[in-house]
Amino acid sequence: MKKEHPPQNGSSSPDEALDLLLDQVPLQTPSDWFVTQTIARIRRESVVVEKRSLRWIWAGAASLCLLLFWTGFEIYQQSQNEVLSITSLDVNNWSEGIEDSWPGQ
Amino acid sequence: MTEEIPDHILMSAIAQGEEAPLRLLIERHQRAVYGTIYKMIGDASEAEDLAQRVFLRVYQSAGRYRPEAQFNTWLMTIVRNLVLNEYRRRQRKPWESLFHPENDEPREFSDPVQRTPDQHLAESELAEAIHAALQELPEKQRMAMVLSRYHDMPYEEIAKTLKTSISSTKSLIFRARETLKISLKKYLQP
Repeated sequence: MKKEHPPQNGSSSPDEALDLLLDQVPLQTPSDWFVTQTIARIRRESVVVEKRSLRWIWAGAASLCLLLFWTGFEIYQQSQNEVLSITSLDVNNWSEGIEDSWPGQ
Repeated sequence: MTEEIPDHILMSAIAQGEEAPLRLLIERHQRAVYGTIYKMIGDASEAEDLAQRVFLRVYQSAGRYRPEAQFNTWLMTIVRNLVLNEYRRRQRKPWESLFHPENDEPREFSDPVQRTPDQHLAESELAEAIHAALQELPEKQRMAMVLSRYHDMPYEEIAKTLKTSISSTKSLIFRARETLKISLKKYLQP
């Protein structure tokens, strides 16, 4: 990972000296249990993500069902209203309007 | 033997949901990821948390990973994005300092050898000085410097990670080195 450098005694330029100095404090390593902890966290958080996605899927499905139910109900109500308006016509005077508008009258 | 398995092969195995390649990948890159984050934010426990988040993101992106860019470059891009998010989060909460030397024990180094207490003291002072000097650099310069010095990454790859041009990368590293030379002048005296 590190670059190879000549020994410090042989260094002359400030750049070489800086590199040597920086190399004295290399990249630190994490704790011994880092790998185990990371895998446990990945497992844990992946389950959380899956549960969250599942929750979204359920919410979506429920909304869709609600929408379908509402649309169905609206259609049903409209058809019922039409039936009601037909049945509520005055049967005895049903021809009044027609006679008035009869051609030639 | 395990060193021979390329990272992109491990990534496709991880995408299939296998755990052993994931463990291998983490073992292989933990020092690079953790060490870089530690150099960037200067806090051991935060660095460990962020490093875990980097691997979590690697795991979550395994299915979408395409081995067009070098794995290290891709990994360091994730590192940088998460470090930047962390900076932004801390800017929103300024009472959380970016550097906590008092609760920050330096981790084991790569060449643990027997040293006298004086040597230990001198080394920890030097480590702290280097750390402080790095923290004073602007974020982009610091990242460029860490990638160049500690990862031996070529300018082209650093430029990709930082989403900038090669000439700008060269300039970032040059300016970082000049600043470090001034900050660490005391230790650079022959």
